[in-house]
Parts: sequence; C-alpha cells; structure tokens
Amino acid sequence: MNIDKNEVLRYLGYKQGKTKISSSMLEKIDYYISLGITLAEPNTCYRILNKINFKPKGVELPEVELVLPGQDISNHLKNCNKVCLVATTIGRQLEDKVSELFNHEEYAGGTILDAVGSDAVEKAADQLQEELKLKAKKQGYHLTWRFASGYGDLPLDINSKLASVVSANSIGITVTESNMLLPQKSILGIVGFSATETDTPLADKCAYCNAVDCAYRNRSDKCAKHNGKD
Amino acid sequence: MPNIMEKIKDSILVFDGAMGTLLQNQGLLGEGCPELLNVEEHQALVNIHRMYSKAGADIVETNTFGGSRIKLAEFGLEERVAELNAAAVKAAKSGVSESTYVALSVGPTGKMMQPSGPLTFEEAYDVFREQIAAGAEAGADVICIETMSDLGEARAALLAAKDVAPNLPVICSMTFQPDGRTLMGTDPQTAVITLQALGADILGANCSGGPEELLQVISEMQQVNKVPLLVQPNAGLPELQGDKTVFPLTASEMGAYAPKLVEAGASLVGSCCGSTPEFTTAIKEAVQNMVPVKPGYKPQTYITSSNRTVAVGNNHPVQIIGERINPTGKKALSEELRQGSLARVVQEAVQQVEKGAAILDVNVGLPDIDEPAMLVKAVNAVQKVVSAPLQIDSTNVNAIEAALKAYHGKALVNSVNGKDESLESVLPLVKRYGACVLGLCLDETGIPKMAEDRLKVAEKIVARAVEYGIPKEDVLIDCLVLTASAQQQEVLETIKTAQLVKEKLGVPVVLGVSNVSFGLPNRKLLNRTFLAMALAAGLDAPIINPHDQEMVDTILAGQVLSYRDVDSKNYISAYQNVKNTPQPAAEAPKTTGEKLYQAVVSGLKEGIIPLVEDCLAQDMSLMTVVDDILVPALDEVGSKYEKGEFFLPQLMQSAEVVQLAFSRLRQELDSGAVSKGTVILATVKGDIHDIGKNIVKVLMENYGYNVVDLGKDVPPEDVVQAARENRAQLVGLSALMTTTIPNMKETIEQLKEAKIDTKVIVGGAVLNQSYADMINADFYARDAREAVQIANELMKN
Repeated sequence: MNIDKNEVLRYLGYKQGKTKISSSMLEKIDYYISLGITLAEPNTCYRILNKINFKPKGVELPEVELVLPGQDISNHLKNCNKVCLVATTIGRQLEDKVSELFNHEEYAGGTILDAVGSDAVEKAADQLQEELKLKAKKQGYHLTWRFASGYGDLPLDINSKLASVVSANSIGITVTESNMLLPQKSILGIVGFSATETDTPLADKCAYCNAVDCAYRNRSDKCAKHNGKD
Repeated sequence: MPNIMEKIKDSILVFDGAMGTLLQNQGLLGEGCPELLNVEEHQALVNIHRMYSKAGADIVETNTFGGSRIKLAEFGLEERVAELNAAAVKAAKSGVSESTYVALSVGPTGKMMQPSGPLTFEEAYDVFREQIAAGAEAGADVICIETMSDLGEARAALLAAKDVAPNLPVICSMTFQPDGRTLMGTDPQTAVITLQALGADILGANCSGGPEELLQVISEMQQVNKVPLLVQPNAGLPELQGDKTVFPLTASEMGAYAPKLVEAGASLVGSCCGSTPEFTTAIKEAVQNMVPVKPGYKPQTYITSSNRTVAVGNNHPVQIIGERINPTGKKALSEELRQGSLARVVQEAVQQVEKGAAILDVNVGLPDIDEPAMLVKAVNAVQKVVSAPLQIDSTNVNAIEAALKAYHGKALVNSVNGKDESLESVLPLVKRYGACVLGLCLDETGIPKMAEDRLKVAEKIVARAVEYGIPKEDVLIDCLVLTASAQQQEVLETIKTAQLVKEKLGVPVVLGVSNVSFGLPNRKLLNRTFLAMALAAGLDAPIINPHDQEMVDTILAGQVLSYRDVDSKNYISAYQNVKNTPQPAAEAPKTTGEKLYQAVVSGLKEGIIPLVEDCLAQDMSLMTVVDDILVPALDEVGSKYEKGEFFLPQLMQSAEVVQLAFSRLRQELDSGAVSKGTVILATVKGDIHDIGKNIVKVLMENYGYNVVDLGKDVPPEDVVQAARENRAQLVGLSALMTTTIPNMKETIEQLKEAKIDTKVIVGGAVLNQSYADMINADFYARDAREAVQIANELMKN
C-alpha cells in the first residue's frame, strides 16, 4: 500500500508554496504514515448486478430489489449495463490508535494518523477499482468512478441496504442507525460498467460532495469527504 | 503417453482455447457457478473438450478456474471442491484423445493476499492444496495455475501443487496489463525469476490482451527463463456491441501471430478469452513444424520483490544492503517491537530506499519476542511500502521459514554458515522457498584467520547448496569483517578472501562494512576507507547504513574507478547538480519569555518545563506567563494557521506544548483553579466522528477554558443536564453528517426549552452559517481556531 504523502498533507490543510514545515514535522508525518500503514488492515468486497432499470425516481436494481434514488446516480450510471456495489475498510486498529493518541495528548500525531487513515481507505478502494476495471475491460466495458451516498442527491439512508446487498459485514463493516459506517475509515461505493468512456473521478467527486467544509478545513479547494469517512 | 516435459523439449505444444466463450455460446453460462456445470452439464463439457482435442490441442484445460473453496463459497458450494474438480477432470479425460494431456486449471481465489488484503499464505496454500489434490487424484496430467496477478498468491499455489502432486508438472501463468505488469505490479522477468526458483516447470502469460500485447511479455520472459514458456492470448481486446462483449480477432489472425510468439520464446501456445476450436486449429497449423527457442537464462544472482529484480555481482552496480531494520543497539526500535508496533520499521524501510538501498535487511530478533510472528509482520509491513527486495535476517529457523512463506519475491536469507547443523537446517528452506542465501565464512572452528581457510568454508557452503539443488549463483558469500581494534592483523585477510571468493568461486561477495571500526574513534573514516579497499577487491553488496552519505558517495566513486559504472553515468547524475548551501540558523530568542514564546510557536516540547520554571523563578506571575506569553504565542500560531502558513498538525503540536506548560503551571495553583469559563463539548446523538470536536477541546483547554467533554453520540438530555450542572457559559456541538443535524437541532431546542443560560456554538463538515441559523444555533465556527475566537469574544463581555 502506498500512502500518498501529498494527499495526507492536503487533508491536513497543507498549502503548496504557503505552508512552511520543519524537517522534524516532515519526519513526524513520515512516522505516522509508516504507523498508519502498519495499522491499516485493508479488506474489500463487491457484488456485480447485471440488471439495471432507469426509473424517474432513480436507478432500480431488480436482482436485489434496491432503488438508488435521485437524479445524480441516474446520471452517473447513464450508459451502464451493469452496476457494481463495493465496500472497503481498513479495520479498527488505526482509528483506535487515533483515539489513544488524543488521550495521551499526542494531538499532532492523532490528527496526522487520522488523515493517513483517510488516504489509506481511499487507496484500498482504488486498488479494488483497478481490479474491477480489468474485469470490466475483459467484457468490453469502461468502469465509472466511485459514487457514494452523500454525493449529490443520493441520500445516506441507503447505506444500510447497500451494506447488506454487498455483505459488507463479511469484512467487518456495520452501519449505525444514523447511517454512518463503522469502522469510520470505510467506504461503500457504486461503480458502473459503462458502454462508453467515463469521466475522470476526483474533480467531479468533490463537486458532488455535500461536505462543504471538512474537518481539515481545506478552504481553497473543497474537501474530498464522503460517506462515513472524515 | 510420454511425460509432457520430455515432449516439450523438441516440439511446440498447442493448448486449447476458451471454455467460458463456448459455454456462453451454448447458453450454459448464466448467473450460476460455472464449475457446477461439471456435474450438471457434464456431457456438454465432454463435448467441448472433444472439440478442442479434435481441433489439434495437445493439452486441454479443465473447467475448474474458479474451483477453489473460496470461489465456490460465492455460490455456497464450498463443500463440493473435490466433487466438482474431479468431475471436471473426468469430463476432460473422456472427451479427449489418448495423446492429449489434461491440465487442471487453477485460477486465483479472488481474495487479496497479505499485505494488500486479509488472505494469509497459509490460508491460500490450504485452499489451493485442497483443489489441486482433488484434481490430481482424479487423474489430471498437469497442474495449470493461471491468470495470476499476485506473485504471492502464485507462490502459495505453486508450493501447494509441488507438495500435493509431486509427480505432476506445474505450469504457472500470470496475466499482464497493457503497461506490461500484472495488476499487483509484477513485471514478466520478476515473475519468471521468482517462480522458476520455486520450482515451476513451465511459466507463462495468459489472458492479458491479444497476441500483440503478449509478444512483448514473452520476449522479456525469454531473457531470463530456464523453463519452457506458455502463452495464451485473448482474441484481441474486447469490444462492446450493444450489451454483448465481442472479441475482434479472427482465428486466422491468431494463427498468423502464433509463429511470432514461438520465435519470441513460447514453446506452448494456446488462446484465451473469446477463442474457439478454430483458433486452436489455426495455431496448430502455424506452429506444428516449429522448434522451441532455447531458454535465455544465464547464471546470474537475482534477488526479487514482487515488483522488482535486483541483479548482484558480475558487472552489475554495487547494491547497497540497508542494515537499519535491526533492533540491536537501537532502544526506540526495540521498545516499539516489544509493543508490537512496526512504524519505525516501515519508516526505516522507506528512508533507506530513498537514500539508495537496493536491498533491505530485516531483523527483528529480540530475546523476549515471538520472532517468527514478528518477522512475518515486519516482512509484510516492509513489502507493503517498498519495492526493494528483502534480506531475511534471523538465527531462528522457524522465523526464517515463516518469513519466506509471507514474502512474495525471491528473498536473500541471512544467513547460513559452514557448520553442518546450519547447512542442514537452512539450505532446505532456501531450496523449498526459492530464495538466495548468504553464506558466512565461519564453521565449527570459528572464523578462520587466513583467507585461504575462509575460502574453504565458502567452497563448502557453495558445494552443499548445490547438493540441495540450489544453483551456485543463488549463494552469496560474506567474508566477515573483523574489528581493527581487536584483530588488526586480520583486516586485510577479509579483503584477500573477497578476492579469492570472486576469483575461485565467482559468486557475489557481501560485507558488513561498519564492523571494522568498532572501538575506534572517527569510525566513519575507517568505514569508508575500508569500503573503498573492499570495493577494489570486488565487493558486490555492502551491508551499510544508507543514511551515511559518505559511504554512499564512496560507493558511487568506487564504481567509477572499478568500471562498474560505465561512462560514469550514475556518478554524474548524482553529483552534477549538488551544491549544498548551509541553512541559515534561525535567530535565537533572547529572554526566557521569548524562548518560551518561540517554543510554543515552533511546537518544541523538549525543555518546555524548565522554561516555564525559569519564567516563574524570574517572578513572573502565572497570569503573566499565560496572558503575555502562552496566549499571544497561540494567537500567532492561530493566525499563521488562518493564513495557511501553518497546517493542522502544527496547530496541534503547539497545543501539545501549551498543554505541557499548563500542566506545570497548575502545580502552582490552589485547588480552586481559575478558569476563563466552562465549555461543554459534545458530538451529537447518532454521530460517531469526533476528531473535529477533540481538536476544539484541545484548543479551548489551551486558552484556559474548563472543558467538559461529553464524548460522541451524546443524547440531547445529557447535554442539557451537563450544561445545567456545570453552569456552562458555552455549549459546543459537532455533527459530521447531514443525517445527524436533526439531533443537533433537537439538542438546541431542549437547551432553550430548559431555559439554560448558555450560548450554543456548532460546527462540523456539512454545516455552514445558514444551516446554523436554521437550527437556531447562536454561533457557527468553521474550525477549532474560529471556535476559540468566538469563545474569547463571548467571555470578554
């Protein structure tokens, strides 16, 4: 697993050309990236659904009697013949360590490790994305980027259904009553097998994101936060 | 029927084509488990195998690609592994002619192996073992491990096959992406080097793309292979027509490509997705009179990770073996390892590679540690972050074996020596797991004084390795460096041994260079001088600390002078731009107060308590320290943070410093501590993300507020009660998700209903001013800094 240091810095509010950090702070960041790598226990699962109906209220997945409501998910999947629901987590170890660090007054370490966790789960999900891309390609499809609840008008309350369809509990993910994912560093996503070339992910993802002001206060560019992941 | 390995020596063999494509064309492939057809549509499978056999296939593959327990479990069929695999072999056997071989297809489990995923070597091994045992039992002639992306998984499958079907040839075939690597990053040569060391009988590439894509892969494999190569391209790159997947290449086009694949090095040719028996016939016609190209391997020491091959010795560059991952003499690392943490190990791995290490030694040996378990963890942690191959360093044979299982490449085992006991326990592991081994020139009598005697030990080690079936070039020799302070006369014997080993044995020489200087002053000088001498004698791989720039410099220079860096390319690229300007020292603060201020701004915890005490000793009052030093320093940090000059960890680091200063100041206070006011903080009901709230808490405490932290997922009633009991001037609520904002609203309503005289400040990722207004919060803060500013403003009045 490669944690992207620049991404971690970005989560932490680092601004290129503006923020000045000492070599000891850089060393600290390296250390917590290393720690994060040892604590992350990446695990993924997915389920491909071969039938997809576009309805006015959203996207219907008849095989599992699930409707993904909203216009944005319909747009996202518009040229798709199949849908893949994905789940990724890095387990609890890392976030437990973050709490422990805060309790021991290691605030800087705790904040950095938390950001490392955010990137780690993202990278684990990207790895699965690569695998699925290959699968899609073998069937002549292009893979869309990863959509999630909380983007645009796709409500968070589909999380528990998504989790159950993809058997997210098999990799230790549970959904709380308030639709949050546990462990916190987990992702539930929706990707499509599209007949046509698809958009590039990240820029769009941020534009879709409802979290206008993330915990790391990245004011210049909107944060990349989404469901259950801070 | 002759052994396939005999047959392949002088003729090209043809593999069959796709199974899935034919099943699909017959409408048999639905949503269900393809392997279930082995029982339910047995005759259809017999027919398909017959078609391929008649079309000219010398080898057909069974319909068992997903026949492992893990794959079958996706359909609830995990208890039918033996039955479904046996039925598949039976179908193939009854469909094909007597001279056709039946290969048991073994595909990936679909689960990620450690360290990328949860699957351990042992689990993968057991799963493959079960499937292969069933296929072999049913009469398969060959085991064909195929479409592998993960070298670690391929290793597990290969070892399982060798163990459970020792008399059957094993094929190991990987699948490559357009960039020429597998999904997990393995390049063709690394795959070949690693898997042939592990005992694969045939190696290859399948699926991946069309023949054009695989031509390059096979050409690369042919540079280093000892064993025959198999290629099975898809019928081109798939295209979508309507909602149907179509492979564009025709049978005759595939046939036209086949001779090129043979010329590139393949001696078994088949086809994969999208192909039919027509393809098999076309290939057969095109290649049947061709003869195999000879394998391209030339003896050379190779050490690999899953995605990199490092060549050692001959005229290859001097390869640095980084020695830093070793707890000996390192207190912090030892302590971490005892606690089970590997953060420092990982950090050392990354940094050593950045500094130029080509290979990393990994040693976690501590007297009070479960070394096998820890070494596995360390190997996994390191191979997760760096591509540098590993030298597995332990005196514990169980630890070495556990690590060799977990490691995905061809490791270097450190070490074996000339003692029979050592040779007998270590060499079988080196052979079994396809590793290289580092032999130390010592035996029952200790380290021989004279070079000639050390050479004899080296010769014994190499000879015994060869007896165990380990190629000579997979042995490296450590001539052993003695310390000049104790055995000055013998320092040169090491240099002489190096020369002799190179000359007489021709295997790479390794030296742990820094041993030479123990007990003498200016060790670095001795180290690099000795290094230069050893390089002249032919040292191939020094074990050093790559952070020691002078050592790295000496190696780069030495390679120029010993003609290992042809045209001085590496040397020039390393030094042409180097100009070190000394960093200007920051202006030193003068008074104690300034020092304390500066320490907070710079986030320096060390020495903070003495500084606070110095301030107090200078008759500063507590309030002066807080109000004139700590708070202004925090303000400066906060303002830098606002401007983007500082980022969050710096804000937190300064907070740690202030917290520490406060802990000292509190000792001076009477029990009834003066507080600027009481603040209740809570993450609202239903919300579990509390990092933002925790950051607010830290800053509030820094500024002297008494914070009552109610934690996360806090019901409104609890907030009301706490606010009442503590007479809180301010209540801070956080929520991350839109779904928990109603609970925030509810909490505010209850506070107002209970007529608690307090102000409410809210924050959280999805909040903004208008949301805050909507739920009747008194204030909205974008971040912790703003929350504190609001509190300060409020308390002023």
